[in-house]
Amino acid sequence: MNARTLLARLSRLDRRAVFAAIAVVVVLPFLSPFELRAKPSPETLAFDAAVEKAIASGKPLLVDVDFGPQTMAEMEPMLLALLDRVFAAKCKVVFVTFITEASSPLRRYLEKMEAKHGLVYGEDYVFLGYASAYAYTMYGMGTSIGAYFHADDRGTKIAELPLMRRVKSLKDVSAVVNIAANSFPRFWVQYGVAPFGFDLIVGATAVNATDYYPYLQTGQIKGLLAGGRAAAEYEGLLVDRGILPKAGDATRGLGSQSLALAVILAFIAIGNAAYFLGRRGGAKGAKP
Amino acid sequence: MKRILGYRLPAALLLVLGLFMAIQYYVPHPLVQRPKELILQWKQPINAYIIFLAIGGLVAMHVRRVLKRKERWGYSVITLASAAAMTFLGLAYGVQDDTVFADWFAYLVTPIEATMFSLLAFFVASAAFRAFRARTVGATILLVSASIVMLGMIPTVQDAIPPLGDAAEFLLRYPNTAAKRAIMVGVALGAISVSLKAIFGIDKTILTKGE
Repeated sequence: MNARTLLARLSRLDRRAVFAAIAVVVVLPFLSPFELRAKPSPETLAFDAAVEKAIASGKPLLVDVDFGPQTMAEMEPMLLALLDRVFAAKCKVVFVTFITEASSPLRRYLEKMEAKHGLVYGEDYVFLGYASAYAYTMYGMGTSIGAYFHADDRGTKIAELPLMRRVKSLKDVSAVVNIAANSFPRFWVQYGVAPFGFDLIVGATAVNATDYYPYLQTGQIKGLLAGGRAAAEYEGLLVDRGILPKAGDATRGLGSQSLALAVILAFIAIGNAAYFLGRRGGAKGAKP
Repeated sequence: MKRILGYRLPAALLLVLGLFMAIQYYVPHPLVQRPKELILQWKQPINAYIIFLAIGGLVAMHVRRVLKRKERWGYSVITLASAAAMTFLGLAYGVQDDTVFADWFAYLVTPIEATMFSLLAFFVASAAFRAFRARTVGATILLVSASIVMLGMIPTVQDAIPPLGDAAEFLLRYPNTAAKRAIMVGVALGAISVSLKAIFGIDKTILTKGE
């Protein structure tokens, strides 16, 4: 069998074989003790620096969590690493979400963090809950948070929460961190950063992250975690500084992600090689 | 009267409020900012009403599908039953962590949604294999740049061939940013144009004419 015949056969590979190859390379790294480490990108370093600056200011942080179960694999490790960092530094945090699906997972994360870091609800952190009309609420929070959140997620009046006595509006927070799998960071830039001028720090899926590079370049976003790989980079930074005892799920997922990318690239190369050989020989390559 | 209530009044409100919300952005005076705050606060109850309306529309559509036994009406039954069950559980027992609602969300909704999304990886691989071909100059540029970015994202490749990682970062930071910025400016100009047409009543399709 010559190379051309082999490529022609490979190019007609059943799609179930492609699915099987992806399944194997995604699962294998989770079964092996081998751990990949990624060199932090400038965007990840900027994210880390912006978070450290916010912690150092001594003011509370506002964290807006906008992802649901669909993107949990990519976003959850990012959020957990951030929470470990800020709570280890005894930074006070106000949480909010603008998508209904985020509330339930966020409550679970906060419950874990409360036990792990010995937090007191209402003093160390507050979850304001879900708010609709995200753009309007973001804009309104610039002047008054209480006007949009009369009670927190547990139904406690805002005025009765000690932390919220310090946080009347976005002027009272050191920065806003938006961990989002949608376009909400763009709305934070338009309705928050532009009129009120606070620091915005973003964690996004790799697919959405490309939308935020222009804002990063203009300084309207101070730091960006771009997808699962960046989450692994951030975990690595926290491990190196002794904040995390060991790398988390993002680092474990990096092996799967890298192998899956390599396999996809190999398939693209096979498909194209067969296409060009087929064209030269007048035969058809893989059907699109 | 029908024309006034159905078209002229909404058009007048759109003109006044549209212009006001555009101007308030540049006027920090309390005389302008206080009404702005009020308008922003109105949006939350209005949104709740919109959600109610959307749920009503969804239920009505699926009930019609079931009653008329349209194609795949069984899915509509599942949709209605699931919506009714979650609504009942939420209203009856609350939505906090230790409730049935939260359990159903964690053990039903979460895995279903995560599974749906994770299938993307398989379809992307299959589609890339079958359709990502260097057929034209444009497709070749796309193929080469996508390959560089994908390779540059693999830590071992980045360590072994540092220029590849640098090239991936360059592509993300410059050509990507330039293209995104061009799209953003285009979209913003389009949004301004559409908004002005709506505010000044040039585009009348967004309002009923009361006829």
